[in-house]
Order: sequence, then C-alpha cells, then structure tokens
Amino acid sequence: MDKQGKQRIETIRGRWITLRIMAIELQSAAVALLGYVLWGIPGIWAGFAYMVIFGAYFLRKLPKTADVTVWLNQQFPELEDSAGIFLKDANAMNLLEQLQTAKISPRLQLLKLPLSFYKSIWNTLLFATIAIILCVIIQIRRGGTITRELSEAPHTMVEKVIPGIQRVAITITPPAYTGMPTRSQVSYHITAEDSAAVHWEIHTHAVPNNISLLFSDSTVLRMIPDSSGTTWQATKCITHTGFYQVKMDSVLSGFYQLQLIPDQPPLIKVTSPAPNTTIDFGRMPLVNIHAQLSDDYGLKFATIIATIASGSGEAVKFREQQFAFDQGLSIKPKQLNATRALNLAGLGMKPGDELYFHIAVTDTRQQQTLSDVYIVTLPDTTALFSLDGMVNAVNIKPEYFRSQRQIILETEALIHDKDSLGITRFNSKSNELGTDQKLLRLRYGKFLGEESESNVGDPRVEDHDHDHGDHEHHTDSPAFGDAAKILDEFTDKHDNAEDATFFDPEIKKQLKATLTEMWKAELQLRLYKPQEALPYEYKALRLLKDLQQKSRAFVPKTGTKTTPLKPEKRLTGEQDKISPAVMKQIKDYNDPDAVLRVAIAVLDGHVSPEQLTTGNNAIVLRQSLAKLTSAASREPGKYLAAMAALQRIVQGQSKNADPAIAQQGLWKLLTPAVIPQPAQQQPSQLKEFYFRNIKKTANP
Amino acid sequence: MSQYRTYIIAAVGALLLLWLLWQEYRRPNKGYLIGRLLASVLAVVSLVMLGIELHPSQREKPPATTIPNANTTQKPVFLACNWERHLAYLQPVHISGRYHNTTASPIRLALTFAGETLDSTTIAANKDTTFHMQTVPPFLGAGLLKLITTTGKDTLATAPVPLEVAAVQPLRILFVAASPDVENRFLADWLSTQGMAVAMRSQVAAKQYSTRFDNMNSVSLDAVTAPLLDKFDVVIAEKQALTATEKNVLTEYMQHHDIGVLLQPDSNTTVNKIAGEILLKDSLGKPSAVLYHRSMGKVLEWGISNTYTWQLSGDSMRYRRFWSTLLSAASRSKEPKATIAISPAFAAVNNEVTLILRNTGPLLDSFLLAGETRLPLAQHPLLPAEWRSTWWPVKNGWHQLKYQNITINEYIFGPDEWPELQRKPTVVAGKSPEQELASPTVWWWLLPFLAACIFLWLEKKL
Repeated sequence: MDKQGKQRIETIRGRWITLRIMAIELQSAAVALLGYVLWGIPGIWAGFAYMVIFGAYFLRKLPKTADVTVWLNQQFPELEDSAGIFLKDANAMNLLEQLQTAKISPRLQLLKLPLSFYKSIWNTLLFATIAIILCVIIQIRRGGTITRELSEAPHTMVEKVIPGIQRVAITITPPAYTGMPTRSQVSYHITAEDSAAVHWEIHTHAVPNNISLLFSDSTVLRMIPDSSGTTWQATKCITHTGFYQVKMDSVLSGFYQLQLIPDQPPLIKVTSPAPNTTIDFGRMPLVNIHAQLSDDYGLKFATIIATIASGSGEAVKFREQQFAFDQGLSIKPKQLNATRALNLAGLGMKPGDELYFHIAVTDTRQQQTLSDVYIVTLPDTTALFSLDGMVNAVNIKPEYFRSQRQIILETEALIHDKDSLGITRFNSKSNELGTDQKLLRLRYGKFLGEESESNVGDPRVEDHDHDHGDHEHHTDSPAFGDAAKILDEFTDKHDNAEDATFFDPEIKKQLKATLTEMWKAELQLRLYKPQEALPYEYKALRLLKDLQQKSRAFVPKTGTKTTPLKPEKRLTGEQDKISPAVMKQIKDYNDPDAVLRVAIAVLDGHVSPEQLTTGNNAIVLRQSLAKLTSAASREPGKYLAAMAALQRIVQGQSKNADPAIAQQGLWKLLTPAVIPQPAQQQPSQLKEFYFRNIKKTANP
Repeated sequence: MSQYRTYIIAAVGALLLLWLLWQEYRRPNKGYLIGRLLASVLAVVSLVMLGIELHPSQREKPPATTIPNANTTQKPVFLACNWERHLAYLQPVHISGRYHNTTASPIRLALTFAGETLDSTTIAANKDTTFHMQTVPPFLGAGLLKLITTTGKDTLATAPVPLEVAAVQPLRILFVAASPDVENRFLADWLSTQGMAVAMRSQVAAKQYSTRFDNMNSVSLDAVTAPLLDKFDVVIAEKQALTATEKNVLTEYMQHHDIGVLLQPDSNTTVNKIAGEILLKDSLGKPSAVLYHRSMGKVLEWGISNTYTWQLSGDSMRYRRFWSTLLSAASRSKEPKATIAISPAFAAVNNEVTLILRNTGPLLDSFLLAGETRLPLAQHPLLPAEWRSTWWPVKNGWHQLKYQNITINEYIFGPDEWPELQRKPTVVAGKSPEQELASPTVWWWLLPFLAACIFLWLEKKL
C-alpha cells in the first residue's frame, strides 16, 4: 500500500521536474528568438546562455521527495499532513503510521493535481508570446534596414557545398623561404602566399566516380581517390589569383575564392645622407649611410654599390666598388636598420671627385630593389681661387685694368723711393711709367677705333710718339710693291675698326674721358712729375671701374627684320599640282560598357525571373557574365560573389538578393565615360511659329 | 502605420485565440472539446482575415485637397519632386524637389541604386526647403533609383525614381579649319573613336582643302551650303576659314534651324561677355565658355585653344568632360517625328492617366498600345500636333507604350509610392474606384466566422 503511495509521490516529482525543464527550454528558445531578431545569428547564444544558467541552477536544486510531500500537504487538506509518512520504510512504521497510510493511500491515488502545478508552463507560454510579439514589432520597425542588409550581402561569402561531400581539409604549405608554417582549414575559400602548395582532401559519403577541381584559368585538376574511394586528394601550386569549383561526377559546387598574397619586393628608405651632399674642405671626408630595409618575408642581400668619378672634362675616370652594411643578414630579418660609414679619403678620393652610390637589396624570393642614386661631392677648392670669368663677363679686359692699378702702385712706389733713387734713375723710371701709361692708352684706344701702331710694345715706339688726334700719316718710305703700305697711305682706316661698334655712344664717351685722363697722367710722368700724375691715374682707374660695371650690361640679341607680308598676294601661286589629302576612315565603335549597362537595367526587377533566361535578356546576361568571369579571375574578392549571383540568375536558380549583388558587380566593371549627346526636344511647331512671327513683328 | 496594421491585427488575433482556447479547455464540461477548439480557431482566423482584407487604408476616403498643404500635414512629406524621366546616354539626372520636415530631427534624403548611395542631402529639422540631387545612372534602359528618407537609423519611406536611359545617339560634326592643326585633329580623332560622324575641311591652299571623313560617306566640302549643314549637328569653325558667302549661309541657316556653331578661339579671343549662358568657368570664376542664342541657332565661344595638351598629359577625362559639355550644349536637338508623354507625372495605378502623343506629321495609326491594350487617340482641340488618350492602368510598375515604331517605358506608381504627390481622384458618386475592385472576396470570410460562432453558441445551449 505504502509502496504505491511512494511511487505516486515519485511520479509527481518526476512530472514536476519535467515540466520545469520544459519551461526552461521554452524560455531559452524565446530568448534565443529575441536575440536572433536583435543581433542575428550570434544572438542565439543568448538563448544558450539562458538555458545553461537557469538549467544548472535548477538541476543543482532539484526538488526532493520531501519537498513534494510538503507541497502536497499544503495543497490538499484531505492528506491530513501525512504525505511524508509514505517516504518512511514500511517496516520502520509504527502502528499509527500504518493506519494513517492505509487511510490516506486511496486518497493519494485519486488526487487531481491542481492548475497551479502547471503554473510554470503557463507563465512560460505567456513569456514566449510576449517575446514573439516583441520580435514582430522589432521586425516591423526595422523593415527598411533588413533590405539594406540584404543588399550588402556580397561581403559575406556563403559557401555552397555539394551535398555528397562530407568534409574538406585544405592544407596550405607556403614556400619554404617565407618561413611560414603549414596550416589547415576546412573552408573552401583559400588565401595563400604566392607559390604556396595547396593540398585538398575531400571526404565523401558515397563513392563517386571522379572529383575534379575546375580553376578560373580553365585548368582542371583531377583528384585521386584512396583505396576506400571516399577520400580524394589533389595538390596544386598557386601562382595567381582566381577562383575554383569542385566537380563531383557531374555536380558542380559554388565558386570558391583563391586569393593570392603576393610577395612584395623589398623596400629601401635611406635616411642619410641627403640625395646631394657636399663635404666642404676641412670637414671629415666621411659619409654615414643609414637605411631602413624591409621586406614581407626576409632580406637576403644588401649592398652599397658606389661609383667614384674623378678628373674633369675628357679625363674623367670612373671606379666602381661595392660595400656591405655593418649588419649581417645571416638571420634573414624582415626589417633592418642598416648603417655603414664610408671614409672617402680611404677610398682615394681627392677634392673635385664625386661619389655616386645606390643600395641594392634582395629578398628571399630573389626580388631585387634598387634605391635612388645618392651623390656625395668633395669640392675642388683651387677652382674657387681662379678668377676666370668672375671679373668680367666678357673676359677680355682684366689685364688692362690690372695694368692701370699697376701703374698707380708703381707711381706711388716711385714717389716713395724718390729720395733713395737719385734724380737720373727717378726721371728714367718716371719716363718708363709714362710709356706704360701710353701703351695702356693705346690698347684702350683700339676699342674706340683710334689708330694705333702695330708695333706697340716695341722699344722704338717711344721714339715716334705722335699725335693720334689728327689723321696725318707720315710713314716710312714705302717699300716698292708693298700694296698694303701704299694702300695705307691713301686710305683712312677709321671705319675698318669693327671693334668700335661694340660700344654704345655712352660707353664710348666715357672711354674717351678715360683716355684723356691717361693722356694727362702720361704727360705728367713724362715731365718727371709722378706726384702730379697720380690724381689723373686714379681718375682713369675710377672711370675704368665704372666702365667695367657698364660693360657687364646685358646686350640682347637683335632680331632679324623681315619684309612685311602682303596678305593679298598670299596663297596666290599656281596650285594646280596640289592634290590635298583626303582621309576617310570608319572606326568600328563598340561601347564595351553598353551591354553591362543593359544588364544592370534588365536585373532591375521589372523583368520576371523566367524572362531573364530567355530571349535578348539571356544574351545580354550571358555576355555580361563572360566579362564578370574574367574580372573575377583577376580580382575574386571584388567580383566573385557577383559572378556567382549572375551565374545563378542565368541558370534560373536565383535567390532574392542575387540581382542586387550582380548589379553591384557589373557596376564596378563600368569604366568612367563621358560622351557628348544631343538634347531631346518635343516635336512641336510652336518654336517655329514663334520665330516666324517674331520676325514679322520685327520687320513689318 | 497603416502597413503595420496587418501585423497588429494578427498579433491581437493570436492573443484572443490563446485566451479562447484556454477558456474552452478549462471548462469543466469536457464534451465536444476538439470540436470547440477547432471552432474557436476557425472563428478567430476568419475574424483576423476579415480585419486584414478590409484594410483601413483601402477604405479611406481620399482627402479633398489634391496638393499636400504644408500647414496642415503632420508627417514629413515631399511637397514636390521632379526629374527627367527619359535621359540621353551617360547624361546626369537632376532630381529637384521640395521637402517639408515637420519633425524635430534632421531628415536625410539618399538617392540609391542597388544598395549604393549615389547622392544625398539633409533637410534640417522643422524646415521646409528645396533640395537638388544629381547622378549618372549606371544602366541603359529602364531602371529604378530609390529615394530613401531616413531619420537617425529609421527609414521613413522609400520612393522609387524611375528613369529610362536611351541608347547612344551619334553626333554629326563638321570642322571648318583655316589650316590643318593639332587641336582639331585630336578632337576629330576622339570623336570618331566614339562613333561620331566627323567631316573636316582644312584649308591648305587658296582654293584647296584637305578633307577628312570619319564614320560617314564623303561629301563635297568645297562650299558650306544649307544642304550640307542639314547633314550635321554641330559646326566647329574658325572665323577666317569661312568665306563671306559661307558666313551669310550660316547666319541664314541659323534663322530656321537650331544648329550649333562653335567658334574656335584665336590668340585674342576673350570670353567675358555677359550676353550668353555661361557653360564653364575657369579656376578664377571667369566664364571660359559661353553659349549665345542666335535666332534658332546657338553660337558657342570659348577661350582655350590647346585642350589637346590635357590629353597628351594623360588627363583624358578632363578633355572628354570639357568637349562633352561644349558639344552637348551646342548640338542640334534631336527632334523625333513623334513622342509619347504621360500625365500626371505621378501616374498611379487604378487611376486615370492621360497619354499624350505629339506628332508633327500625319497620324498614321489611330491608336496607342499600352502593353496589349489598344487606346484610341483624340486630337487636341487647340494644338493640332497633340493627340490624347485615356488609360486606366491596373498594375503598377513598368509599362511599355507603343506607337508605330516608337516604344517608351513608363512607370506607373503604386498607391504607397509618392502618395503625397499623386493626384488623388475626385470622388465620383461617393465611390472610389478601388473600393469596388477590392471588395468581392472579403465577405467570404464572414461565412466560416458565422458558422463557427453558431456552433459554439449551439453547443453551449444544448
């Protein structure tokens, strides 16, 4: 009897626990639904968390049978507070307890559990209903954003797998030089280093006849089965970006991305020296080369290639030398702050020499990068002391100017030494200075076109000193037959002196004034009065200095003057023989984007999905698909999703978001273009009437 | 709110159903339990369907005013919006309108296509202002841009912007040059690669011209005459290259035809007159290309004579933009023999739509085809070139209109697309046309509802 009672209590406890667990599960389902609506797939974890927390809490505090009897006693007065007795061992019961058990037992069997027993279920149902209503409201409120999310879908690639494939294991082995470890993945989309070996291992449920991989460059890789026929393998070295498909028997999978990480050539950043460096005389002839070298996998070699140029003009010589950096590259670092100090003196460089150098860096893939060329110059200081071309732009007169200064210096010395020289020597020296002054005057006179003796500097010159102002010529007895001398007698050679035309009248005037001063100085010197000559000499020098400044003035080239054209005579020659060119060509204009633009319009939703696969629409979409496919093999990340979407549309298996994805891909393919187009006008004669009538009113 | 009503009705129905089922289940008398439960379900479902079908928005009487009134509307609305419905190839569409933002937060208008935003503008809070947006649609043919109004993250409305982009129209261009030169050569080369018909006359001797014909048959270019000008849309000429007679011919021709003449600049050309329409400005804001109207014709002057250097320096987009602007503005307008137009601009489904055929020649067919429907045409009493027809479209979306060999696509708006700008029909005899179209199926739901209620009542009574 009491056994039945105990059983009954256990049953009630079991039902209680079941109901509570069901309630918790239902609640967590509601939470998961709410989470999904709010945050998408990750929101479902909220439901799991709820289930784990509350489930664990409940399981830890499972209601004991004693709790059940207490509850029964409270709920049902007819049990007379005796439900607990059933839990006791029948043998241990005293008489009273046995009697009570016998009395209560039938009542216990007939107990109808009250509604409050199922309270947790009703509460949970209410909770779930509220959650569903909330979800509906959120969904409604968000109506616009959900479509937006759909249109952004191409960024998340969904893998379309052949049903017969159980799983795939892809092992990517990057080339050894990268030093990257081999890695495995179970996803079909591959991102691999350049020249990496990719190994596919496909496990199937059934035993297919063949599995092959179709690549975007139209190569086909047949997979090799093992003995069981359910594991297939293939390996390929990836050298370019693209995409691939898995083909099992005749079933094709979706498109999977094959993204290549290219190995970039090394980078060189030279921080010192500056591209053009001059090491001034007196500084240490030392060049510190600092460079930051970097590569994505490792640096193998780095050298400084230097060329030393010495000498000038045609005698220039080149010498090439290579230097290593101070830091070794034995560990093949990814980055290196390389330094090297070059001692130019040690390289045998002299002032005037130049050093050109660049840095060559090779990475572990044997890709070489060369830096820009840097130039280090050791200037030649002796050239600085050369006055060539510095005194005068024309570079003719410096010696004469120095001469005038020399005469002044010697005059001053003569005056200074007057007492020690004695009168004869003084006079003779003064006379010699006069001669020098004369020679100088004659040389300047040449510029003015003044006549001069051809034998200047001849000692005899002093003897026939004559006036150059007049034009009388008393020459030596002419040698017979010397035509030049005879001619000299009868001709005036003033205008022969071409030099005279070098100067403009202003300069000529000043030059004449200089000559006058020189004359006066010479006169005083000849009169043995060097003291009196000195002011004239100084004045002559000052005028010469002025002249020197003036002669530096830029004289522009004079243009050629041509006779003016007579327009009425222009092009009036005989033109019968001219046969002008006639050019005729037909350029086949074919806008490559037109078909893409039509495809975008076709996909814009006003054509039903069935019509997309027939007639003109199908042709347009197929042509666009071809373009998209070639773009996708170049840049799978950008175009693969669009290509797959368009492919589904062409095959008539499109999903909701496909047209938008395909449109975006096609849109990215369009090249920017502008073209002149005429305006559109409504056919109407109003404009014509208007102009006809306005003319009538204007000219009645 | 009206579009959510369906969900609200459904939710209320579900709650009612749960409560009713619970009540039925709880009843001490368990007779006919299954039957009662089924009857409750049937009754509630019928009631909900009745509620949904008799959608309040379909029963609403149209407001008496046809133009939304800025002072009385509470919701933010478009007071006006318009754009070119038919565009030439690669030409931009200009969307202008007026928006009244009645809310206290700024509203963003975004023009999108295929999920990409093309242009956008923001209307400040509590502001009634005009807006302007511009884009070059990426499609060729009929397509829908979307104008999305959002405030914060909430989408207020999505309105379609239907457009039809025409195929490329080749221009015909005549060059008259005083001497062969690089500028003309580059321009002619580019235009001919774009499929344009190009003829060029360059003077090489007093009466001798070297000629060039691209994408067209050769014609005599020795003299510029009216029949020759008929063959071209634009003339690009140097002043001194035209003889006095030719200048007269051109002036006379422009009296009656809207041909464009581009006068090439010489070294002393300065474009600073104010008498014309300024097409382009230079970086200093001075006009660099000006268009004048001369009778029906157009004369365009500009000041840059070495645009080919842009192309040589690789800036070919600048070159193309420049010349496209100039040539598009100056070229003779395309004037088809007949065109089809639609009125009102926001033609709505199940509403009267007027189709207007403008036809300068004789009327060859007496009807228009809207899809498969033949619509007879009636001549306008005052405008002899205008023919009209009335059409009641029953489906929203794109419709093909045909007359002879002219085919255009026109978009018919649904009742919830640009509702504020749709011309509301006048109420005829107290009935709106939609009511009649919507009603018949609704009342069938009344039968199961009544049946279920009768069963429940009888069951209780018996």
